Amino acid sequence: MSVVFRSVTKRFGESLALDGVSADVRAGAVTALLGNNGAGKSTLLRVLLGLVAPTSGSATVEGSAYRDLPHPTRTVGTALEGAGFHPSRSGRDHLRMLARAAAVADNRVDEVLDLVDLAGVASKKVGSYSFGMRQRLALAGGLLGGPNVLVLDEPANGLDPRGIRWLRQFLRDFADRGNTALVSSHALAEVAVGADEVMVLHRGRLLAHSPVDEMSSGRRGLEESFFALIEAEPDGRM
Amino acid sequence: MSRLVASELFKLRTMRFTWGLLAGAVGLAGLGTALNISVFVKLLPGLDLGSEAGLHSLLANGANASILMVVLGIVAVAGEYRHGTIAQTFLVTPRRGQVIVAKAVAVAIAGTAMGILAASLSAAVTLSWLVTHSIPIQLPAVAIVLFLLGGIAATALAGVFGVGLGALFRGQVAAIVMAVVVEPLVEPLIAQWLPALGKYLPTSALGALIGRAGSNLLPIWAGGVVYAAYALVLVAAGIAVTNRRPIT
Repeated sequence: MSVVFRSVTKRFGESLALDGVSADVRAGAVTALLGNNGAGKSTLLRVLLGLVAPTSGSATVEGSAYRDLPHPTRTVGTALEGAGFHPSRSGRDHLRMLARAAAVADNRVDEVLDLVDLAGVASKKVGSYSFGMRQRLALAGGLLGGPNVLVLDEPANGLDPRGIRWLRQFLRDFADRGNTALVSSHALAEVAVGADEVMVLHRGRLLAHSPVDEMSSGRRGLEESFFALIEAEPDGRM
Repeated sequence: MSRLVASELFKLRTMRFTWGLLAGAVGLAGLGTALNISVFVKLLPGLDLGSEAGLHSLLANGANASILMVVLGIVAVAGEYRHGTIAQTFLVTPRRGQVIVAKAVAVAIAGTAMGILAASLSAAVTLSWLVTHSIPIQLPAVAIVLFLLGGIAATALAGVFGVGLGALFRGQVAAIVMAVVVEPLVEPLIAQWLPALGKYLPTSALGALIGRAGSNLLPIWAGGVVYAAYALVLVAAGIAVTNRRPIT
């Protein structure tokens, strides 16, 4: 298993953000992490990436904690929601500064800019970018190291329909090469088309983890199944 | 480590703010020295500007840049929180302490460059004025260079001091106000109450290293040692706090 969560619990003061989440995310598949806002999706991904320390439990990528990976960016590519940019820096310079720290050659910067279709505006300041362009720049940053695991937090936010279709195809090809994609989303419709597996997180607990066609089969589509799961919870209000 | 320093230097180079500060440092050094000369000439006609005391008070203007370097050091760390790039930085380099150390080194390099530029300008203004007014320079060249080196060290260390503060208190504006406004205002009050302690406080130690005139100051070398200790302790504390901080 390439990404493993073992009883991950995270408390922020009184509130329980994650409650004993265990899951094996398999390689060769696109796994969608679904949940309402505040379900704990971002926190779970941040625990995996070593940005937030779990109160208990552990999360590993290819057998080791993120911070112990010898070349983190070559193993795991990330684009997190709320990734920011210095407004007076160009898109290319933003990637160059990351590339330098990651020991990635500068020509790779132009490759990923091409890949996310930002080559034309690469020397413009990020301050002038639209939200969708920033999303693509964040994704480009995640791709710099040529990783075999991708962890994306709400990557479809701000993308236009063409961008979403591109992202879906990109993740498909990525997973089909045997790589692992873990993608959080609160937009169910996008995921039903693109993902192989679904994890449903609600109030910090993992309610389901199954192949997407299993979950969306039968009379109910993915959306109905999702709400059925959540509403079956004792305090299952939205 | 060297690629991390290269990355941090690249970040500094690609911020407009850095170049604004550099312009400010050069302006403070050049204009400050020139203003100082004209004030001394008008108000203290008896003061021999070619004497040791006169030269020191003029040449110390080069190190005015040190206060700006504190700001650059703070911005180098806290600015990453402000603009939301800190998570990306820590994803590339999950060992956060290494990032902070690399920032301290990069800002020290920038501070050295800024210090050299500012010191040279201050010296050029001072010495050319003295020469054109036929005032004998009563310090050997070596003494002048050593004095300027103190100012350059101050400018570099001030950057490290700022990096420590920025790592400790990631709120950029609060950290800057504290370091540049509150601390220098509070320090003389403490020094009045406890004169023995006063000269060991950061702004006084920095002033001693720069060679500012003042009765209750440490010798230059001791000021350097004390200020360097503050900078290193702040960086160490900043690393300890940063390692525990959730990045959300």
